[in-house]
Amino acid sequence: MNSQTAPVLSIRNLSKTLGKNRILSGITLDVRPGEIFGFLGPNGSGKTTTIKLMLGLLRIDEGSISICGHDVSTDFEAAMENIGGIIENPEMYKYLTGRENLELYARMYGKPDRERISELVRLVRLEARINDKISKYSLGMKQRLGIAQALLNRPKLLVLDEPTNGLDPAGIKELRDILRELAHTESVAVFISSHQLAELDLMCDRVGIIDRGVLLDTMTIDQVRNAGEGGLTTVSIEVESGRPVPAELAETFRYEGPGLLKGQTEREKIPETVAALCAAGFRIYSVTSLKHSIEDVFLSLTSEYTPAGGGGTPGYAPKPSSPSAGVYVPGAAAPGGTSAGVYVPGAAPEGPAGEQTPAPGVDVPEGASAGTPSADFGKEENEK
Amino acid sequence: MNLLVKNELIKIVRQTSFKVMVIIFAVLVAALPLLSVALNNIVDLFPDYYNDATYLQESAEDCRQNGEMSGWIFYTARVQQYRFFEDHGISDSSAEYQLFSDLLLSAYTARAAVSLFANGTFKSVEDFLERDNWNIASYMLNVASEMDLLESGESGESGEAGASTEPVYSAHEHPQLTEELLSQISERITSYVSSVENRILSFDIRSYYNDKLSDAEAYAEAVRQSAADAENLYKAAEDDPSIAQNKKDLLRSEAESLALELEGAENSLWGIRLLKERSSPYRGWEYNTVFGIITRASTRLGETGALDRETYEANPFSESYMTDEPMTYEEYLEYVERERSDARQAIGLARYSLENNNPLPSSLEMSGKKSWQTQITSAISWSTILMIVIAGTSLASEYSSGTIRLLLIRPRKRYKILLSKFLAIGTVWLIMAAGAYAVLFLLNLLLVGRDMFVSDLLWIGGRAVAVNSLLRTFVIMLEDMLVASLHVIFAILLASLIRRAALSIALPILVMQLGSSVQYACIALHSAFGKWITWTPFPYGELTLFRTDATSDYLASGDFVSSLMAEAFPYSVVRDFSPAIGLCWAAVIAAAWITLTFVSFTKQQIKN
Repeated sequence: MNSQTAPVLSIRNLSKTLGKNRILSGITLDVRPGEIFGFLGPNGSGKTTTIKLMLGLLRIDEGSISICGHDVSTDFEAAMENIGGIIENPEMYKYLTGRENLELYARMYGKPDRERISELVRLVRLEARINDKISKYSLGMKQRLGIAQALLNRPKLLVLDEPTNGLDPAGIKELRDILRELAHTESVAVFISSHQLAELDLMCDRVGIIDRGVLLDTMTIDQVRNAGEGGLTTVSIEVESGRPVPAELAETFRYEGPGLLKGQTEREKIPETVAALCAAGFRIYSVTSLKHSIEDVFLSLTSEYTPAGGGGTPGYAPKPSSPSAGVYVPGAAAPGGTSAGVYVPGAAPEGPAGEQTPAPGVDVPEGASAGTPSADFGKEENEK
Repeated sequence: MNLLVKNELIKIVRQTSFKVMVIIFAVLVAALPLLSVALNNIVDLFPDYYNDATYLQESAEDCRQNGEMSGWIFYTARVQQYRFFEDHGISDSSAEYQLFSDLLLSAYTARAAVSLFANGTFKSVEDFLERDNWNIASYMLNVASEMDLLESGESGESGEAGASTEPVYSAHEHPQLTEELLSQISERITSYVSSVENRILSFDIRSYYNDKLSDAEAYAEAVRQSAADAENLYKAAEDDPSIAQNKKDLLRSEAESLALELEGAENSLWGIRLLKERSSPYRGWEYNTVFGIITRASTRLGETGALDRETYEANPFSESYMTDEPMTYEEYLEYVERERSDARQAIGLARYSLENNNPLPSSLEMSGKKSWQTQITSAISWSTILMIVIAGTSLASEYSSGTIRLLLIRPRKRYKILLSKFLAIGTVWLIMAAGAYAVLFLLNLLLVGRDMFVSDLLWIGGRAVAVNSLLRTFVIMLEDMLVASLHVIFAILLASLIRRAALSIALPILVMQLGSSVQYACIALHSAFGKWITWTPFPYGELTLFRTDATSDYLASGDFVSSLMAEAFPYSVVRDFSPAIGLCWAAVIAAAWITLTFVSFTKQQIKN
């Protein structure tokens, strides 16, 4: 893998309107081979719509999606040869057995390969129940069978819409292992949508955050981890209580509670900080570097604009009372031509994640991907 | 594509309700011939007291003890009649029975009645009439006329059409006359009874045909003479400038009418001669064809001579009694011409049938072929309902269960996926239909009649054409399926548009049911609406009614159901409708429905 690897999935300036509702505005992103891309957003933010557009279930209004270089609109069959997926709940034919369902879908790619089917059944650990009818399956078993059917054609891109719905913790871990294995040993790119943050945290190489149809940001998981302010790391130090903070540390550290010092410092200064505390006679029980989780980033990106549960208003309209949340341009020409206003996050000088979010909004010019964060992150990821 | 069709077949067959539907269909199909046999023999299902000698005897005795002497007369006569036929081994389907049983019964009735006068049970005719029994009175009159005691004597062949036994006077109003008749009857009754019995025992179908033939010959000869005279009269007048044109028209009309009458008479003669030469059995198919179709159509043909304009316009209602407003003379000519060609068609088909030993189904007591064809039409219409359910479910369930999503994300164009559904549904339907075709063929062959391999006769281009019946029945089945396919395609179209099974199934079934009502309305009203309605698609919801010919106006055909239909919708009513128009419409509408379905399915977005 290198930076020159062509993206498996390339979405350019994608917009979609259903009825009067503008569902997506100018989504642009790339997913490269072997990458697990988490697509994160509250309910109703446009995740499933994006996936349906990728799989040809909805018509693309504006922009384009190509899979392994094949445009979904104009070269549907070739594009679908390279993609496998589940959308929402993987509903299959209840009156057929699991194996019959797999055979049925396999036939849509050509002659069914029994060996491949057995291999997938083993992969998703359904050997014992594969000859039962789907109507007797639990939701978790259906999800696993859904993954098996998505892999029948050895896709370059696996698209999973909320795949952990209905899975128990063990199932989620299994799924995670399966996906990691596929991505890292077979170079399958995985595009996985979820509103459950913890899952993606553990699974993904990169995440994109979408809210009300606008892709707010994409970043690598390392960037998420270090998404503190100004590159400082938050450190909490457990000490015996009662001692005053030494003067040289007083600017950065203070007591958060009895015996718990907390402050932000450069990573390189942590050993010195500890030494200084020791010198001041502190007994130190633990030093913890607090990493950012996706949740922090997600909430900081979306909290300004998203009522709990998301969905609702067309377009992406921040509350007027939050001046720092980018600029709301009423009536700005939205792709697709709706009259709803368009949020242009990049226009905000000090947006919540402004520095990392140049313009994932509507105005990304075609072919400008080299300068977008997603391309950069991709490079970093590849260089690792 | 094969693999896609296989997928759709698996889905159809594995849906649990499919098996139940197929079983129901199979049971219904297998029941059809049984039902047909049962309907045709429905009389046998009731106790046959009329043919139970012990019961008759006991009833006579009961009546005698209760003083119901008219009842005693009836039962006594009947039991004697029954015993006579039984003793001489004459079955009730034989010519002797059919021709003479009523005559014999009236003779025995008279003998029994007379015996009551002789032994003093009845003192006077008033006494007799007081315990009135009009049946017996009419039998008495019958005997009287047969004995030439009455002037209006009819031929005694009461079994034959036209042998009226209506009393010429009322016995109540003329007790003297009745008394007189009774006394005359009683004098001659014994010899009369034995003469009737002898007539039955010496019956010979050949001499029966001989009598018929000589009647027909005499009639034909008489008509031939009149026709020649009329022709000469007209020819003489034609070039005579002194004769007015309207007089010439009258003469020509008369000559033409007589020529037609002669044509009919010659045809009847031909038919009866054929029966005599072949010594055809009484009430056999040849007999039925001659007396059921040829002689009646010949009579009709003889009546289709057009009146001349002056005569017609003097009394236009004379020929157009069926309508409120009289036809114009031109309409009248058209009408007469049509009647004439129908009569000729019936004669032509019947003659072809006789010449080629190819019985028309209607001429047979039980026609397996006719039942088979009727039942296939029923089977197709039932299978259509099943196919509407299967087709509607096949597509709508993909939406309602959400499987449509995983179906459409495969590297197959949507039109191919839809096409595979169409092909799978078509395959299932063809298999079901072919199964019904074979099962009904075998059952009708075994249970109903053996004329399955007899060719069908069609009237094409003014002449009879024999068509292989197995092939034609198969084509009929395909035609019915083409017409019915509109409903099935409609169900798929609806499923694609509204994505709900219930309505996609209910609506086509509703339309299908409405179709037959609309068809009946079109037929009933087409004389009012005009002929244009036969060019619209509305009358062609089903084609069965229009697959008929002129013979059906004279001999209602085959089994119970089709004879009912033939009676309700005779050829003269449905002749303007053509199955070919219906088929063309079906093809056009099917193409439109299919196009709409494909456009809808390939353009639609899967939003949920």
